[in-house]
Amino acid sequence: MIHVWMLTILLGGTAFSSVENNGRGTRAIGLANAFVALSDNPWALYYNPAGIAAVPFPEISAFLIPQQFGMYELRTVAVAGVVPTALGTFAAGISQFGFSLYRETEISFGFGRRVDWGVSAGFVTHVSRIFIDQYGTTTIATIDVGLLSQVQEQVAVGFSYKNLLGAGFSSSERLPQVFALGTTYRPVPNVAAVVELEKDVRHPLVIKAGVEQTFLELLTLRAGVSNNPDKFSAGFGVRYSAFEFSYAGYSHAQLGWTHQIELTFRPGL
Amino acid sequence: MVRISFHALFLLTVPVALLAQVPIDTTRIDPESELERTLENATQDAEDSAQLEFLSDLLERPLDVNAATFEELTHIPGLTPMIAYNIMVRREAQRFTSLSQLLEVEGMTEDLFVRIRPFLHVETAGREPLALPFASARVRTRVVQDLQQRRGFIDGSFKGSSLKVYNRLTARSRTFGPKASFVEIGLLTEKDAGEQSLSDFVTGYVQADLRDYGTRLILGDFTVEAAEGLVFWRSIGFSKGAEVISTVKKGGAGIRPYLSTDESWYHRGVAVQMDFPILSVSGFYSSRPLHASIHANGEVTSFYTSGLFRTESELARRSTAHLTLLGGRVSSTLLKGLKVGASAYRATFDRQIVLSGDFGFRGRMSSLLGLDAHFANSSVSLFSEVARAPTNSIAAIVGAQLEPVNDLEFSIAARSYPRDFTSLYGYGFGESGNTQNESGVYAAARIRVNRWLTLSSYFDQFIFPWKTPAAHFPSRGNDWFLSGDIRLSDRLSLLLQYRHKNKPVDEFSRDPLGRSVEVVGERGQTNYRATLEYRSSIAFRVRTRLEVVNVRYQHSSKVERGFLAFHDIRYYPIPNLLVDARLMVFETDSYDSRVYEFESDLRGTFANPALFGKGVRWYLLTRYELGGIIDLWLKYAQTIKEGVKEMNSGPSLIQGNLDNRISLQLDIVL
Repeated sequence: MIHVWMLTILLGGTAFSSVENNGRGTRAIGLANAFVALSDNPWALYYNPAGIAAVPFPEISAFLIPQQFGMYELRTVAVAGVVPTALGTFAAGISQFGFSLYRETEISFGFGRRVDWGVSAGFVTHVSRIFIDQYGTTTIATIDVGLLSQVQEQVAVGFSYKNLLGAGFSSSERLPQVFALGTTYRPVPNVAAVVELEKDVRHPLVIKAGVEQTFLELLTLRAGVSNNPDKFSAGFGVRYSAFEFSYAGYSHAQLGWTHQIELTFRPGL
Repeated sequence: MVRISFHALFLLTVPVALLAQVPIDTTRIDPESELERTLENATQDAEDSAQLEFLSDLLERPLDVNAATFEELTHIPGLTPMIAYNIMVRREAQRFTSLSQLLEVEGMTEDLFVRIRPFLHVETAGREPLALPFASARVRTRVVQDLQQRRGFIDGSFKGSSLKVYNRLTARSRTFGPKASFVEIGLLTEKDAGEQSLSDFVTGYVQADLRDYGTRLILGDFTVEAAEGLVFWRSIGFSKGAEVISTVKKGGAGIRPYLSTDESWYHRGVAVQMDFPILSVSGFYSSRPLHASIHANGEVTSFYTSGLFRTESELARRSTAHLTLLGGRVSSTLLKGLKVGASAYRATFDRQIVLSGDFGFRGRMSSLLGLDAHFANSSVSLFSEVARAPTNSIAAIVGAQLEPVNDLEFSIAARSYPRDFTSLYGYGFGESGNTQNESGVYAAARIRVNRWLTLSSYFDQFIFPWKTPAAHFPSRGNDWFLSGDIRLSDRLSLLLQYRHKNKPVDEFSRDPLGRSVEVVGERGQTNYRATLEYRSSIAFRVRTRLEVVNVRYQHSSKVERGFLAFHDIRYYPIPNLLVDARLMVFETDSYDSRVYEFESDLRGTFANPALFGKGVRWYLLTRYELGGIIDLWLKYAQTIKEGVKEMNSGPSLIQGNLDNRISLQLDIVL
C-alpha cells in the first residue's frame, strides 16, 4: 500500500523522480545538490555538463542509494566516468532506479570543453528507458546544456538548463525543464561554499547552499541545506591513494533520512 | 526563515570580497555588447522601435566627429550637452584626426569614450574607396516567419501570407566639395505578416546635403525634430530610463530623411534647410494620406497608427483621410553656446477630426507655435521650450543639466502640458507620453564615486490635472529609480537596479457604509534587478540576471509577484562569426506583473518582449560576416509556457503552449 502511495507521489510530480528528488554523487548530495557551479567530477553529467571540462584526470565512480526514504524499492545504482582528451573532456554514465514494477534505466553521454579564458561549456544527452509494469516501456532522450565561468580566482558562476528541447511523453507532458544558476566561493583552496538557485518551470524556486572543507588532503566534510521542500544534508569523503570512499545522508522534512555511498577511482593519481 | 537569510547574507558578502580598483581595458570591449547595454538602458518598459532604429542607424552611419552638429552629438546616449560643448570647443581649436583624441576632451572619461565610440568616426573627405564608381550603397533584406499558425491565418481573416518581409536600399554619392557634400537616396518596403503585398508600406526620399552651400533639400519622406519636442518630434521617443541625466533634454536636430517602419509618424513632401552664419532656417510642406477610423458621419474618430493591414476592417482604415501641412523652423546662435529658435506649423485635414477624450483634438485645422532657447557651456546646460495652441493653451518645459565637478552630474526639469494642449506631431518628456494633461518635476543625479562604483538615480513626480484613461479623476503619481554599477575587476561587473513607480488607477473600495465605490487608487510596482557580467576576453562575454517584480494596489489586498532569471553568452568562435544565445526562465502571477527583457535581434531591429505566466524563453542568434561586404544574420527564438492551452489573443491566437519564430537577414554594403 505504501509502495503505491510513494509511486503516485513520484510519478505524479515528475517522471524522472530519481535525479530530481535525490541527486547523484555523494559530494553533490552532501552539498544539498547546490552543485551547478562546482560540478568537477563525473556526476557533472547530472548537474552541469560544463563541469566535465574541469576534471583534470580520468576518473570513475560507482554510486549506490540502497534505500531511498527507507524503501528498498527506490534504490539507485549508478556508475559514471570521465576521460579528458586533447579535443575536450568526455563523460559517460549509466544508472538504474526502481524495482520490478517501475524501473528507469538511463545512459548518458556528455562532453565539456574550455571555450575561452576561464569559461567552459558542455552538453549531455540522456537516453532513458522507463518501464512500468502493465503499462509498457518508453524511451525518451533529453539534452542538457551548461556553462561554467571562473569569473575570479576564488569565484565561479555556473549555469545549466535541463531538457533544452522540451522532450517528454507528449507536448503537453514534457519532462522537467530545470534552470539552475549558482556560484562557488573558495576563500582558501581547501574550503568551498556553494549557493544555487534552481527553477523548475513548473515548481517554485528552490534555494540551496552548502559548504565543504578538506583536511590534510585526506578527509573532506560537507553539509548543506535547501528549501521547497526543506532538506538538510551532510557527508564526508576519505581518500587513500587512488581511491576515495564517500558517504552522504540527507533528511527530507516529511520522508525521513536517505543514505548513499560512493567509491571513486582515479587511475592517474 | 533563518535559512533564507543565511543565503541572502552569503550572496551579499561575495561581491564585497571581490572589489578591486582596476581600470577598464578598452581592448576588451566589444562594441556590440556596449550597444546592447546602451539600448537596454534606453528602453526600460516598452517596445520603442523608432528610438532603437534611430540608434541602430547611427551605429551603421556613425556621425563625423568633425562635422556633427551640437544636437546630433547630444543624441548619442550618455553624451551630455556639456561634453558636446567641450567637443565643439576642442574641434574649433583643432580638428580631430583620430577618435582617441576624444579622450583629451575635458570631462571625457574612459568609460564614456568606450560607450560613445561606436557612434562616431572621423570622415576623410572624398578619399574613401568606393566599390561602385560614383556611390556607396547598402541593401538590407529581412524575412521573419512565425512557425506557429495564428488564428487569423486559419480562419482566413488575414488576407496575406504569414511571412514578414522588409527591404531597404540606401545609396550615397561620392562626397564632393571641400565640405563633403553628397546626394543620397533611400527606399524601403515592408510587408507585415498577414498583409498581401510586399510593398504594403513604401517609404523613400532623395536628399541633397550641399554643405558647401549650407543647404539641405529632402524630397520624399522626412521627419522634423525641434528643440524639446513640444511641437515636432521624430516619433514616439522614449522618456525615462537608466541614462538618468541625458534623457531629460531632447535637443532636436531639425529635418532628417525618413526610412523607418512606423507607418504613421512621418511627413511626405519637400523640406529645405538653409544655414547661414548665425541663422538656420528650414521650411517644409507635406501632403499625405492618413489611416484613420471614420465614423458614419465622415468624421475621424481616431488615427490608426499600428500600420497593420491584414483584415478587412484594418484595410478599411487605410488612406481614409488626407493631411496637408506647412511648417518651418528658425534658429539662431546669438552668442557662443546660446541658441534660440521658433517652430510653427499649420496642418489642414480633409475631414473633421473628433478624437476621444474631453479635450481630444477637434477640428479640421491644427496649428502650433513654439519658442525655444538653450544654452550650454562646459559645466552647465539650460534648455526650455514654450508652445502655444490656437485654444491659447500654453505648454512649457524648462530644465538644466549641471556638472559642477568632473564626476558629479545633475539634471532637473519641470514640465507643464495643460489638459487642453494637443500636439499632433510632438512628444515631450514625461510619464504618459502624450504632450497633454501632465505636469511634473524630474530630478536626477549621477555620481562616479570612484573607479569601481557609479551611482545613478532619478525621481519624477507627476500630476495629471484631468482624468486619464486609467483614472477617472485628476490624479498624481511618482517614479523613482536607483542604480549602482560596480566594477568588480577589469572583466567582471555587477549592475544593481531598483525602481518603484506609483501610478493612479481606478479601483474599487468600500465607503463607510460598506458599499462598493469606485475611487482613484494607486498601483505601486517595484522592480529589482541584478546583472552580473563577465568578459573573459573580447571574444567572449557571459551574463546572468535576476529580476523580481512586485505589484501592489492601494485599495485591494491584491499583491502580484514576478520573477525572471537568465543566462546569456556572446561568443566569437572565429572572428567573422558571432553566436549570441540566451535562456530565460520566468514566473509571474499574471500579465499585470509581467517583466520586460530587452534582447538582441538582427541588426536594425530589437525585441523587448513582455514575459508573463510560467515558462521558458530562449533564442539563438548568429551572424556571419563575409569579406566585409555581406552580413548574414539568423535568429531562432521560442517561448514555452507551462499550463496554458493558448497563447496571445484575438487573431494572433496560437493553439498550444509553444511560440517560435525564425528570422533571416542579409546586409550588403558596397
